Amino acid sequence: MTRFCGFLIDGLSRLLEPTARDAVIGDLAELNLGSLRTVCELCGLIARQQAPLWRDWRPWLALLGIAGLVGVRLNFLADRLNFTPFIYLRTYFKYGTRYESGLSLSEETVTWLSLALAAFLWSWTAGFAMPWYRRLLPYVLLSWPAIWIAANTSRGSLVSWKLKSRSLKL
Amino acid sequence: MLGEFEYLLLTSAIRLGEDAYGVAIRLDIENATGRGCSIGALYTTLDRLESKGLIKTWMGDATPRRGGRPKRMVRATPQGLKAAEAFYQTVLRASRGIPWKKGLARS
Repeated sequence: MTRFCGFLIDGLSRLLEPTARDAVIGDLAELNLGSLRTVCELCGLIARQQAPLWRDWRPWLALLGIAGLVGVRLNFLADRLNFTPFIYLRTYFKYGTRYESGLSLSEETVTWLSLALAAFLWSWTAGFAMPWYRRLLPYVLLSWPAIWIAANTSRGSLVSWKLKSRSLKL
Repeated sequence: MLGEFEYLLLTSAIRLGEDAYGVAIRLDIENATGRGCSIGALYTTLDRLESKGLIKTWMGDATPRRGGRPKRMVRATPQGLKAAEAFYQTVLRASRGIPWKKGLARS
């Protein structure tokens, strides 16, 4: 068994119920099927165990309602929520002055608090729309590479767009 | 009414008795049917049968061959035995009067 397959099998087995995990891994070790076949068998079991969860309405609501419909808006919301304190702190520590956004400090505070409240409420809704028990952990874990790829793709396109606009200016 | 694979799993567990656990059941089903049996199908069916109260499972001994991991032992409950028998009787009744040899000769 290669080191990578061992790592993969260990990672995949963590998606199983803790009680079933040892028995399944023990069975696979006893069958001695080979690394690739073991990974396939494990993926098959995980897929079969996860599939019934989609019979519930909550993952569909989360997918269509939250990720599909309001995903873009939430992205802007989260971006602004993170960017506002960052730019204020950076400007303050770098230049020793307040960042001028065109809003007064109280207006900026209210805006930021509203954004924080909206993010909190959406997080709350998403948490209850999806079943919060650990069987949905695979989706959360699998979403990270997808988010990473999406972030890098968009960053790549942004960089190329900036370069293009700069070259046009030149 | 049981499904085909549920029946195979139940009869295998009954046949193996005290030695019924994941790998033994899988090999028994493969020998009986001549078809492969995936771990996914086996464990999801075990979970389903257990939730129906047709089998009982518990963690058994660990062996060095299994990397020190325990076996999931299986035993059919009296309801499981009854359900398997009912399935068998149904198949027998449903198959009565079928001209197997004629059917085979035609194909």
